[in-house]
Amino acid sequence: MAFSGFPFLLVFLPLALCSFAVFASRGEARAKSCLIALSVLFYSMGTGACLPLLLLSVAGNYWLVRQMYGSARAAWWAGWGVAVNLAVLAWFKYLIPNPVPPLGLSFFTFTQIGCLLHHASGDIEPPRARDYVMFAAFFPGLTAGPILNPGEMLPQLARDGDWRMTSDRLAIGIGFFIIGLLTKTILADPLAGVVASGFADPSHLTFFSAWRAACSYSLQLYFDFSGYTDMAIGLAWMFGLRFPDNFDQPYRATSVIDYWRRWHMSLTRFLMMNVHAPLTMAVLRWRRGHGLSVGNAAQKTVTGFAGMIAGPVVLTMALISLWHGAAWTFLLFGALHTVFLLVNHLWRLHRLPALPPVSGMALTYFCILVASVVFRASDLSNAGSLLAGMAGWHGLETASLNRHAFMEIVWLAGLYAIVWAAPTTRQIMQGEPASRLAWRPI
Amino acid sequence: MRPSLPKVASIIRHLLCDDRLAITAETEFEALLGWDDMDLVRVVVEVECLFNLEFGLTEIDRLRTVGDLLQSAVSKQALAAA
Repeated sequence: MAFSGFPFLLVFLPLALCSFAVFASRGEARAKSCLIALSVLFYSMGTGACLPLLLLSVAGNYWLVRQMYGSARAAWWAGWGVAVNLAVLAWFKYLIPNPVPPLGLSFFTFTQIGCLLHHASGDIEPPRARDYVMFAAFFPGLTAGPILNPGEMLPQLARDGDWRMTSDRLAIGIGFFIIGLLTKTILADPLAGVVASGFADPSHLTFFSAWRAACSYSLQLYFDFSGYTDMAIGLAWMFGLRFPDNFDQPYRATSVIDYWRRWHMSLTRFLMMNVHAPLTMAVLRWRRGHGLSVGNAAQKTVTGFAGMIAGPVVLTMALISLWHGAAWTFLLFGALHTVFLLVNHLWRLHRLPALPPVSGMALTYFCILVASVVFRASDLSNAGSLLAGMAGWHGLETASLNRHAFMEIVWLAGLYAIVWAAPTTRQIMQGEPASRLAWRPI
Repeated sequence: MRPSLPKVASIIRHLLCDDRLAITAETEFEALLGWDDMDLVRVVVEVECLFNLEFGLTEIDRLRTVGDLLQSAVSKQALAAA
């Protein structure tokens, strides 16, 4: 059930708000129970057949978190838990024939893996059952994220009082939700036709048409995903919870490293915290243990660069590729971004002069655009064909630049103006910039 | 060996290959030229090695300035000695 659809807007959301307003006034336990019931209802209305999987996943992971508390083998339990979660994810997403993955499987699996790792030391008290179910299965973030951080969310969920619906929270939440809804329906959805037709058969696309399809997809992807995230953040606000930001004007990034700090930040943070940083730390400790330097000079050597920078980046990007699915296009998308990131690291490491901001932004966006074409294409052949069209290999077709085409260019230019110049939703609603969510937990 | 500002500053200058880098206790890591998120992990591992300490990733999270790192290293050493 999409947040922008009529069943959600006209039936589910009013029902959710009314029932929460009634139950939240009767105490914390009823407020949480109400939200859990709403989440189960939401998931059932979307894909009822997969509900047992969600319930089993939540119950199993919560049992593990409780087992880990005070146990000398907490890390062992966490390791097994992560392995089982990943095996379930791989089974449904990659291994069964013609897979249609259960709705939100990646998101609720990663969210719970984060919780297992958060408790892996064995000395953090497990959350109460209601709080854990809310953390893992609260409906605004259940199907498309953002991926929640246990360090941020569990303290919010554990609070005893202050669960009443207030006009302040409702106003901010509705603001976020409406901006997200308009972003998705007015800015993203109208681009779907151009994108679908362009990527369906790119072999005939001339220079202008190929660029139109590529740019339209890039904009559609951003507006659709960020709009959906804004709606999720808004919904969470309405019920008194604060979700993390997921986008911070990513197309304004002046380097590819900067881009990954701004795009799908909750996933990037999850991978930085749980894969990239621990792996980097292990490599650095191993080097120091063997008397090898970890300084810039060592990073500039082939082995130093490979171990300290390239290895963790390659592994992290491989996981990002796999996150999106088992397809060659996703693999090439990850490989391209890996190359961009490594070039960026070499540039930084050798202190080459920084490009002027506008040039840096343009070059970064061009790299992202090329990779996004590969990401969206149905196969590698179509991706190559569309990129060839963008390079002008299928002709320029200037004769087709009629009034309609001119208006399309003006519309796309307007969308780019929004992407590059408009403030973020958080800035609009709360007057504060998006939190950058570096790899560090709160 | 006790952790001190000159020693921590010297580690950072050495790692970043910049002998003229001005570093005080108030210096924020992210304000250093060409700073990358993983550079803090490098600095911490070097501090661990020099002063025989161990930091967790969640502890590294809280380090914003050179002074934060120094204070944390001093506390850890005192705790280990107690």
